[in-house]
Amino acid sequence: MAASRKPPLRAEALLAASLLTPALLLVAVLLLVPLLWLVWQSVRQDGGFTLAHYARLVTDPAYGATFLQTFRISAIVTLACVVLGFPVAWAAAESGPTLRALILALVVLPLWTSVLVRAYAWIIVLQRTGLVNSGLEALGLIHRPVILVNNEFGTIVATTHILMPFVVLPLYTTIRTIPREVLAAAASLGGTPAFVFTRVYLPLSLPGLLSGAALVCVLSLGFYITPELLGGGRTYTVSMLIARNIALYDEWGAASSVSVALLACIFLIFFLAGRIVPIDRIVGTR
Amino acid sequence: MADMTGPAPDGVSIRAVSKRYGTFAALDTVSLDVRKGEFLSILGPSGSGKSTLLGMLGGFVRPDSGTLWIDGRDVTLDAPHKRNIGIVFQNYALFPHLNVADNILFPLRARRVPKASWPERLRAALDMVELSGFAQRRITELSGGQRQRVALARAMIFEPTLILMDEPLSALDKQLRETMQIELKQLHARLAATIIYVTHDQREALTMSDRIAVMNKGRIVQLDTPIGLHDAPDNAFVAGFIGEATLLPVTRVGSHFVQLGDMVLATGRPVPVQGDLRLVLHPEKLALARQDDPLSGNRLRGTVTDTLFQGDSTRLFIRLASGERIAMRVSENHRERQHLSRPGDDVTLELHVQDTIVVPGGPG
Repeated sequence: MAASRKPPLRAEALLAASLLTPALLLVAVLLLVPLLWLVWQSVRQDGGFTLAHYARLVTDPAYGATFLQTFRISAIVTLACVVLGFPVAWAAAESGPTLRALILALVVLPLWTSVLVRAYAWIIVLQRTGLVNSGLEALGLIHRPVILVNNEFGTIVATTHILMPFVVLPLYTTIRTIPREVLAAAASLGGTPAFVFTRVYLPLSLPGLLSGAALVCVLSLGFYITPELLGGGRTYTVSMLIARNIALYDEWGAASSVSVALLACIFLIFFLAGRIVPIDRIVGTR
Repeated sequence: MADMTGPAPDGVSIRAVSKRYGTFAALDTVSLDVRKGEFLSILGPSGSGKSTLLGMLGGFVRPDSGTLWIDGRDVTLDAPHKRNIGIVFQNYALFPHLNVADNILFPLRARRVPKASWPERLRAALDMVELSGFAQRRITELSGGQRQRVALARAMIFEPTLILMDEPLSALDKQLRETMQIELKQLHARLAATIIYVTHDQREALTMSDRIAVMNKGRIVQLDTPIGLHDAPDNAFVAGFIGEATLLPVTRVGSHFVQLGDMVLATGRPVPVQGDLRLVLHPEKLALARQDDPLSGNRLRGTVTDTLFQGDSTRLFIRLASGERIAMRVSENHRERQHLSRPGDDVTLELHVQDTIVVPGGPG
């Protein structure tokens, strides 16, 4: 039996491998090679080995400040996405099919619009004579326009909006997998709605929440256009630092070292996220 | 049934509850009294309304009309967490992110029971379901039967007045199911809690219950003890649902007599006057009559068409003189085997007058 079964299995494995080859090649050529090239460049100067680029990251306070601002923006954006995204995901998961389709469409539709367009749209909404300011003035809540854009606030608002789907969608998927019976059981066992939410609903949606948050956190760390357009020069993120090092100063070594450092930070975040919540064990089998 | 008097001072009283989903009547003016400490099963096919009734008791389904009372208190509009009911769900509904101990302690935590009493109660609960030593296990590390026990312990630790069970054994294999049936029955005796047990498995209901409410199409069609249901079904639906009865159309020829083909049979109970009548034939109630036996019951003539050896018994398929095919069971022992018939044999079957049951046909 086992002997007669082996050949088709091997053929299957071979087929799978051959089907994977193009994708693997693509990843290797377009991702691994440039990445290695990046690392190589970051330790080279004038044809020799150097750690000067990395030393500068530590010694030059401007670099530290840029990293700090980038991470601060990322943290605020992540928090905002989670806080604002949870009710949306919850509403989508708990409502009837029609309302659910509408909510999900509203979440997904912006993804089909260019980031550039959305960034400019936010400028229009938030500027001195924009929708928000004129609205607040009409209501008599303010007498002078509030500065909402060309600063960190504007960057955070636009980035949060752009990245919101990345937390809503995985969260929605996770919430949908919470068995209704488990929630019913929690209620029947004496759990008030608030108790059931904090003790059952939230812990069981944590995997989706965390993967969404990790995604938003990492994506926002690399945001370039949005802080460039909405920051008005007052927000200076790592991605802008990298671009300027190349475009303005032609410093590939410096740009590469910053990129590698950012990449290392991102890996660290994913690693920590996986450590804090062992996702596969939380979901468990029912 | 719908016009019962006021709610009982204890136990569960269901008064004329109805629930419609669109045009579908899931429950149609159902009334039921469950005595304190009783083990009552709700038995019915899927779609008969039994799960709706259970959901209503649990507080997850709001009745369109009617009231629910637990220990003399109107709970019709109470939220689930205010009802003090332990529910064991079909798929256990354990909390996958909590270990065994935290699952079982969940009701105490939710009810803000002082922590000092937890260890003792947890130990007692684990002992009760024979899971001592499993407190720190993750739910994913447990077998189906163990999960079932955790669900039981969790539903009982806060000593609810009422425990609802929604087909709790249906996910287990046959052997484990039978073991758990006995364990549940013993637990019930020890706890003296009222248990309402929903199942579609008539054998399970017959084994475990003090009384059974048989449901069909949103109504309770008969409420009786297991023996009562089995031996004295009120109607063709119950007769067909309980046991392995064959229902044969008969006509009334007297207050205690019916005619089947050219055979006249005496019945133990008065024959209903109106409607289509059905004779209820259980395989185990029939016996092969022998020449030397004194006449002691109704006699049916027929021809054996098939025999089926089933280990503990042999099943005979017989075509009656009136044309219908029925089944009967013959115990598999030496005495019976000597007389065992073969296909083609003409046989006379005996049916005791008290086992000759005639019910009105049609549902309800």
